[in-house]
Amino acid sequence: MIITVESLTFCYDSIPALRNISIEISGGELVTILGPNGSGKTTFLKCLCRLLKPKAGYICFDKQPIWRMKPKCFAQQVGYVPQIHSPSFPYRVVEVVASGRTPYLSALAMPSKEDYEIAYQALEAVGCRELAERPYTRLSGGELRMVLIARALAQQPKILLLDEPTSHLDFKNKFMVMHTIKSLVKKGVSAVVSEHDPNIAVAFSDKAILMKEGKVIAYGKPDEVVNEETMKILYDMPVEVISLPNPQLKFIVPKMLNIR
Amino acid sequence: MGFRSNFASFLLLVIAPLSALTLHICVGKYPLNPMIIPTLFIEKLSGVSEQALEQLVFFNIRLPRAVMAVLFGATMGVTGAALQSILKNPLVSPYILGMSSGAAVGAALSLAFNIGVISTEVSAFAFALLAIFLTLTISRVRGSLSPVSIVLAGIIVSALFQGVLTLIQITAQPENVSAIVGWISGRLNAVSWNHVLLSMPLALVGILGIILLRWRVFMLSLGDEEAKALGINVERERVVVTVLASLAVSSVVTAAGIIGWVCLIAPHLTRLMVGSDPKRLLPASLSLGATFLLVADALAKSIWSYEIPVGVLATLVGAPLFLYLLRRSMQVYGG
Repeated sequence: MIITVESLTFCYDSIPALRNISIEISGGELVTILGPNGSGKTTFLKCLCRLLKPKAGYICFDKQPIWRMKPKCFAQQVGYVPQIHSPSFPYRVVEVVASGRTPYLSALAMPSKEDYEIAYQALEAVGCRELAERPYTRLSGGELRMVLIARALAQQPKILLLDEPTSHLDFKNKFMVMHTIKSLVKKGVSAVVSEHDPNIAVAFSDKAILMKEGKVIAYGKPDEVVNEETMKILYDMPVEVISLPNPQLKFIVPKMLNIR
Repeated sequence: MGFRSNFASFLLLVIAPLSALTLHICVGKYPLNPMIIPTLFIEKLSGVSEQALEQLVFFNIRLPRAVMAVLFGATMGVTGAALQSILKNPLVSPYILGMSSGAAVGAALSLAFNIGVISTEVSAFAFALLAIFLTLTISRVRGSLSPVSIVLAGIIVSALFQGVLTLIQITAQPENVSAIVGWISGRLNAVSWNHVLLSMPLALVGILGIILLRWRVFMLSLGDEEAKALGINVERERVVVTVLASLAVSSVVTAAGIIGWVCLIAPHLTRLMVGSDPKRLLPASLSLGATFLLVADALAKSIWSYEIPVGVLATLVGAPLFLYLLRRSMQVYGG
């Protein structure tokens, strides 16, 4: 599914958060958004999933303006994984995942056996089948993130939008989450992910969007757009790019590391 | 959960209220033998009245009171569970929306100043609706209705009506004050078929509506953004559930006064028994709410030489029971 964003502008009250963004994201890719805190990454994702209505400009999925789609129909195509989720009641994990089936249910209906089957499969797909019967107030940060991704999968969407899926995760779990997202993209889903670590963006994504102060300053393959120059502009910090031979990978290291 | 535990909890949720109902009907100043209940029905239908006194006690006193207890308990169980879910706060009771204080003011006005044309019930119901209307109106901040603003608005409206209530009690005649206090403390002993018929329609609409919407209630408890992202019209659904709950609670409070704790005990007991599964929580809360109030009212009319208002007894039993349930659920689920 092709995502077209045309002169998108969004303000919180009078403070502009997104300024005139135009971008086209082709289907079946993993796109990461890089940018410092407050650069508009989350706002951009929330505009994409209709949680925020832009002041100007439009967003189209396959040439269809998203604000003209019915809420239910939209939710069947777009799965959203929020940055923060605070569980309220000790629901079983599988119920939370099954809530992803809601866009397919009529007003008074409950999820059917098939819906629960899909929920179990979604948990299987993120490697968390064994969590299904646990109360989800008792999950670790990494497990909770995986469960929320599973819920988005149960929506069977064409586009996955993930807001900082690697935040608050340990060294390994960051990679596990990104690995899972990558494997889903290989099966045909498009994913747009906001991310703080340029190294993760370089390692996993097909395209990278560099955002600063609500504007896109570069967009393209991470190998091309992530370099010493752009990182310096993005984070106001001198960096050094180190190329590793095997596997062929770039690593971005801050030049501030001489504090020892 | 396997089939056996499903079956066991189903049995419990049907048998518990039925046994409580039988107990409630049979105890009192004039004890009835549960065995004669079928005979009483047959006699009533065929027009024979060999046991005239038993018939009178059963049909005119015990049955309406029992039906009212079931309606009240079921309403409080279901609306308590639903509002706790949609406001994402396990300590919320339907009374937090202000309708109980509103109803109390309405009843107090009518009792204090003997407004002949308007009955206490009508006045209580009208003021309960006024209170909810105020709560929902002032909780709207910039066109949107958040759980926190609903709770805050409810507290403000309750406080306002409490103030008015105190003012009425100060200015009223002493004999009227005791009538007001009696009404507020919640009692089922004066319930007649008229009360039951008045409160039944709205209570049933509220209970059934909320149970039918239980998946939506569950979705709202997950969080606004997430429910929105899953295609739910969060604002609309929250107003629908709140209004259904308000109407049901107002109508039973109008008939029986303010009986607290059912709305907290039933949902928490239910969560411990059948888990938080949204499909079961609301129907099971209905059953346990009815059971709790039936047992409390059976005690209220039998443990002392005169009747204790069931509202008072529910508090005396409910508060320690609630403490126990909270501690248990913290052990089971963690914080």
